[in-house]
Amino acid sequence: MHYFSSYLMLFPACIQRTLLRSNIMAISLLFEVLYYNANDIAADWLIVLKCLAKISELKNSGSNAEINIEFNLSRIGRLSAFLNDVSLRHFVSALIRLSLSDDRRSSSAVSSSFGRTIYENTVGKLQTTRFTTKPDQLQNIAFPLVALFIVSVENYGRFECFGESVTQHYCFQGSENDSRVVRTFAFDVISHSIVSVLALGSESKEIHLKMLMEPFCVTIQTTNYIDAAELGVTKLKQIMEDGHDLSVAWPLIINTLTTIANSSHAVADWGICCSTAFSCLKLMVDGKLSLHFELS
Amino acid sequence: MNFVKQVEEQLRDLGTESRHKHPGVKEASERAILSLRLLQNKYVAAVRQATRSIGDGHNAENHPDGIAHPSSYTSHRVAHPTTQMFQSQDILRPFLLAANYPNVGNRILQLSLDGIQTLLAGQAICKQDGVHVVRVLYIQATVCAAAIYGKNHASYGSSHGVGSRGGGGVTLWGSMVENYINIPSAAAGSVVNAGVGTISNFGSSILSGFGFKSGMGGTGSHDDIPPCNSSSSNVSDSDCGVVTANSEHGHNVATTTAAVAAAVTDHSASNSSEKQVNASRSNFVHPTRSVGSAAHASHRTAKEDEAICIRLLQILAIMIGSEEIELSEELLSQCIGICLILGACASSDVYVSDEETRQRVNSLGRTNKFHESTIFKFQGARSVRKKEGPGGSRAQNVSSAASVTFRQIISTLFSRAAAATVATTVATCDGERLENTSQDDKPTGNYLTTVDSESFRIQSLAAKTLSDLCCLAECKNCNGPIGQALLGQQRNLTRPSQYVCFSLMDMILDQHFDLFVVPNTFGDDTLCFKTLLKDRIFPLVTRLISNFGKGNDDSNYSYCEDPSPLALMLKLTIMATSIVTKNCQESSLTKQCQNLIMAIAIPVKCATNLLRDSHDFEDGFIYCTDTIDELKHQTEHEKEKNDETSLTTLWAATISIEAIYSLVSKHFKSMLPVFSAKESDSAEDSLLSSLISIICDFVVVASSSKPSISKLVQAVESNIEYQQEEEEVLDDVRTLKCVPGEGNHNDLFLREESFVVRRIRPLVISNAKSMTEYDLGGTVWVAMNCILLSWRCLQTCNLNEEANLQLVGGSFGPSLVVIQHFLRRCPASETICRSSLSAYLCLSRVSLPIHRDRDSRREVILATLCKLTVPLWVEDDAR
Repeated sequence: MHYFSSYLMLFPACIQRTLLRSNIMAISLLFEVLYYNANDIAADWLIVLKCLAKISELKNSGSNAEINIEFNLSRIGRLSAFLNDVSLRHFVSALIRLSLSDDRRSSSAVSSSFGRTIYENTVGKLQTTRFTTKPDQLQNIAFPLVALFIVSVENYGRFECFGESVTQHYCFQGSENDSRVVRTFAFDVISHSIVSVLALGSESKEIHLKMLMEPFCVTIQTTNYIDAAELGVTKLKQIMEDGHDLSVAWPLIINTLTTIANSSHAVADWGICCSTAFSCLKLMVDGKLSLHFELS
Repeated sequence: MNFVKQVEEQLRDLGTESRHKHPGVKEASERAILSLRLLQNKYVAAVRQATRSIGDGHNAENHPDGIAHPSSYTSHRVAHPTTQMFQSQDILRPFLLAANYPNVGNRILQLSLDGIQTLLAGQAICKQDGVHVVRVLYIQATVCAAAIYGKNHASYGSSHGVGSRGGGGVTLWGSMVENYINIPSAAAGSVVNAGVGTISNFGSSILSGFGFKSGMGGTGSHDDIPPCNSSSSNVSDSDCGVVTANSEHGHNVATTTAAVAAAVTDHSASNSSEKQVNASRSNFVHPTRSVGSAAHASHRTAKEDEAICIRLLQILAIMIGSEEIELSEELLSQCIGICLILGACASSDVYVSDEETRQRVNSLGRTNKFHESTIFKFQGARSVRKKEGPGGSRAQNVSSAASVTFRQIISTLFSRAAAATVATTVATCDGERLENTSQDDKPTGNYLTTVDSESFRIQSLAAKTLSDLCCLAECKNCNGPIGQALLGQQRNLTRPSQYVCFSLMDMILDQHFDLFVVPNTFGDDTLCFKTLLKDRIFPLVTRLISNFGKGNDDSNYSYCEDPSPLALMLKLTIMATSIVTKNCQESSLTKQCQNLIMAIAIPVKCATNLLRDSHDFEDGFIYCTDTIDELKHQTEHEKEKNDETSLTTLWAATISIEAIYSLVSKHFKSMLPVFSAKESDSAEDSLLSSLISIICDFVVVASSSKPSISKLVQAVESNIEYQQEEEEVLDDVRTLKCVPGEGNHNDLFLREESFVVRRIRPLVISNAKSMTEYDLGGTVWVAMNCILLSWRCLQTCNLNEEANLQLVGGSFGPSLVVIQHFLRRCPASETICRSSLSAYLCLSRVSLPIHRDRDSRREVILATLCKLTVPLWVEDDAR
């Protein structure tokens, strides 16, 4: 190691400002390593993902090789699907850590970057639910958050492996992030996750639902951003309107709505939020009554 | 033609041809014809008996009990006689007698050799008479070699203005002939001793064994001839024209003809002083003393001498291969002696002083210090030979034929030894089987004893020969068959060079490796091939290769006639790789194999140190798009500077690298036990690690300056041109491929392998023998590919984690440094980058699966790779 480190000191950092052919070859090689040794990377995913995040921001000149790099980058979700549970946890953990350190894109030109496809894919995935984030605003979201969403989508089948940390991270972003766009995106992702998990209909649905709803509700309750709370309640209402069975989480939801009603903030600021919360309550009651009538 | 008729005609022709000059031969021929007829009658009778026995045999097969009884069958069945029935000393005698005369005419000698060849082909020479045949061949070989050398040298002298040396050559050969052909005459008959030390022990001449007496009719016997160890018998024989001379050692007596004796009178005075000098100068001087001049001995033309030499060598080859001739140590040493004599007749170095050699070299205009001292000495000599004209060509032909025959003799000897080993094994098995059979069914006679003694003799002879080769290769004296052959040599007659010795050892190991794996059945370890291999050959080759690396090679070339020191280095390396690959699975030889491979790597270390110490080392040059033109305009001055480094060390390194490359590329899996052998107690230490580290050091140091990077790029580009002959260069699209994998992975685009073993042509060493056009870039490129290939092989071996760690633990860092070095220093060369990245891939495939606490390899691989992917990378970002 010492030998290696001392050798590296001989060379200054790369001074080229354009993507060289050697860079392209190295990127291709990196994907090959990831492909063949994905489960051997373990705790070092952070290094790789940091690199991929940087690559996603680089400008794509449109050559065949670069198009392939863009394509490979967009398959990161697919790649994660082939990781074992331990590696997946490492992978998700690395993405979360990266996201915490770097939550915004340094460049906004997503349309001409290597990350274009993955962002487009993200929009495509979110479209399956009613999402709030505007597509043109998505380019302000950092690669790790987008990648985390894509990875989650590809691995909903084993949500229990990584879901808790992902949900908590998105809830944290939705509650605390300075950027409204990020907060909105976070709630979109949580909403998408809840709907997707409910749609799976697996035996552990209740556990998954609880795993998702609890932090979600806590976020709505604790956030200092009115728009976040508003968006949270709105997402809650949308889910209920879609007819998903949330009976397991009713105590949590009622508790959240109660918290909003008891809010000490100015009424003018929380008017919309309270109104939406009341709509939620109405939906719950209506749903309960209709169920009661059907049963009787 | 009928065998008997053919022999009879040859005898008759011989008698007719020699009736005036050699009446003794005529007389012997007539007697031989009589013997032949007697034997013919016996032969006819035997044929009749065999024909009858076939009928009886059929009857025996139709035994009333319906069972064929082996004992009754064999008692009735008589094998059809062969020409072996004509084995008779009487028949052979006239041919030997004729060939015994050094000054015999071409026609008589040809007839004599015809006869010997016919008898050999018909297996009609007695088992013990082989040695007598070889003795007369030895005489003729000496005479012919002297004549050819004399004519050759005269030709050279006339055309190059060194005529005095031609005469000198003849004189020298004359003195040699004197010492080889000791030619006193016995009153009772002509006796010849070919002058090899061991022969003296027999104390008798060829014809003493044949009972030949001049002027006496009938068949002779040993008793007819008085003992030939008389201390002085200077008696003339008017009939045969033979003269007996004194023998310095009483038991060594030889004969010559009157013609030679007459010549002696003229030359003995002038030669006597020289002989004394020779005797005191050389340890190999034969004690016997005689006189004669080669110039007088041969009255044949150069063409005739050449033809005779070739025939002599043919007969030798036949004799050694013949099962009917007893392959004794004496016979073998005589045969080798003949080959050495004939092989030396074209060698200038035998006769040319060092001063003359230097003059020749200087006349060729070579001023390079190294070349003068080493290779051009030999190249110059060879060039001169080529210009020597017809005489030189003939000498060269004879010399080449002698070399080939020498090789053939050794090969045949070991073939027979191998066959003897098999026979011993079979006999041992048979013996074990027969112990369980009834007494009646056991074969009669000392079957096992015969097989054992015969096998032992042949194997012993082969082992002694191999031991001699080892001694000669070590520049030591030897006392086996080759040593005995050399014992009769005079002056500077070249011993087989180290190169020849190693070539022969290589051939033996290659052709008869089975000999070296069978256990010793005779109990004597000195005759065990396995022991010889372990205790002699392995250490010898290891030591010599190590010496090359350390630059101690000059001392080994005091008398070698090799084309260049690198020829020996090449031969040793080839031999070493051959030995290692054949013995790598043998656990008892693992340490030896390990030492040998490390010895191969020593020249690489030395070359690395040499380059590191040079003023060109590390100028920070980077081959990028901006500097491509710079390389194209590299000045001639810089090119000249590159040639100043020691070529020998660099060439040796090149040979070593290619040897390691071939070991890795062709024998990796079988070599794993050796490669994984530990050099220290460290868990991450292995021979492979050490090798890779050494090569990595070389690669980095040898490609760290503008000139060396320039050469590397040139070498790589020439390699690409070669690839283009086979297939088109891959474009961007084709470098990415769809991986045929499971599930959805098949839509992942990955890079195509850029490293294909068959594309790498290790052609650098093709110029090694002549040490021309040293290609440092090519060497670095092969070394680079050697590293790559090692990792690739490790990857395909699917070893477990522990084994991987042990094999490559120590070489991980250096390998990564090499990859980084090329990627940083040659970003403008796509092929270099591509290969480096391929190495990266192999490195990652092997290293990433190794999960260890605190193992930083994975982190290093990923961090360095990621660093390469993005152009604007800040160092801290890697963490």
